[in-house]
Amino acid sequence: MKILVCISNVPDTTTKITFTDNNTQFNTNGVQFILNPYDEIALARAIELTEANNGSVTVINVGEISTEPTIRKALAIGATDAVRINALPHDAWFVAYQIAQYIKANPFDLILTGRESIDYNGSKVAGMIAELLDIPSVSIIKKLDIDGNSATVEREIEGGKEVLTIPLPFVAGTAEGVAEVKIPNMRGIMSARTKPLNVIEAVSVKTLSDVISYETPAPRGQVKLVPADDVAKLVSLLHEEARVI
Amino acid sequence: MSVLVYTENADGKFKKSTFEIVSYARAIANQLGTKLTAISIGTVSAAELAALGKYGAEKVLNVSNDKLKNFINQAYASIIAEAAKKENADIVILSNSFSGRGLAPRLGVKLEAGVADGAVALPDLTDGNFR
Repeated sequence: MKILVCISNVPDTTTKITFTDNNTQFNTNGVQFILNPYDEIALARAIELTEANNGSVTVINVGEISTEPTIRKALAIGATDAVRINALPHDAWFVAYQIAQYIKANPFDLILTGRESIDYNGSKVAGMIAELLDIPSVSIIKKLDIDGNSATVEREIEGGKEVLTIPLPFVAGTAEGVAEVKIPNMRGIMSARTKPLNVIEAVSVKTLSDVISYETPAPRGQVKLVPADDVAKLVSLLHEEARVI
Repeated sequence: MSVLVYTENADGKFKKSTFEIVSYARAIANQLGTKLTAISIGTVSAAELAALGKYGAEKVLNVSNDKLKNFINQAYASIIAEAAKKENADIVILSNSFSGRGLAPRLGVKLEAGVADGAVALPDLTDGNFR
């Protein structure tokens, strides 16, 4: 069984987010980048699924050379080989298009992504890849089991979950619960250095969206406490400051 | 030119979030000076569908078929895309629900349209783009 896991290079969760160039670029100065945590879950499940049957797990990333340490980490965790499409990930559509072109030339039985990347939280790449390949997709799954040519997945829905059976191949975005993340061991780290990492060029594609600017959220205001019996003060604050009445 | 809004139902009933999304879509249609069409998929009563009119939908497309009673991402996306083309929709609005998140990227690809996820305000539509 051949599984493709799409991985994303994202800022570490403790990063202080700032922007440069007049708020048009994310400031990467001093930022630590990591493998997107939800992608780690996808990778762990893919490795579990292929261990039993001598399958393979390819990881693919759209990024410049700076993403290679993260790709090597995925190899250290246990991926068989890796592909880097040499381009900046302009947006989800660009990323999905590149990956879909790769899959058209190199078919897989199953394609996994994390449910979302922790930088842009779009949850779009999985659905877009699937639509480009005209195969099913489930954007956020909590459980994944394979039985021959089909899979049983649990999809999260409002107030519960839904169990689906889907024929292979399909694309799914993994959430917590699908697998425990794997820590790379010494052997994994050593072998990661020599596992294949193929770099291919991106194909050109129409741009469908652009980021115009970023902004950080407004700092949280101070709480004003009003004594319970001072209604006049409350009314005046609501009228004059909050302007809601 | 028009705006299309996908009105998700839960067991044949619309939730508050559905009416909110219709109101949001109505505001956008007003900004564009165009009409708003709602599309519902599944088994929803006529009375329930009529309620969408109260929130601003001028037309309601009702797609009901036993096989579509439960959400199927690929099938629903195809239906909504067809409706968008037929209605000449410039903008398709979906709620940020689990199903909406599954549909939006597929729709974007089908309609070759950008996908603005997680919108928290009305857009600026003045220069022909969705900002």
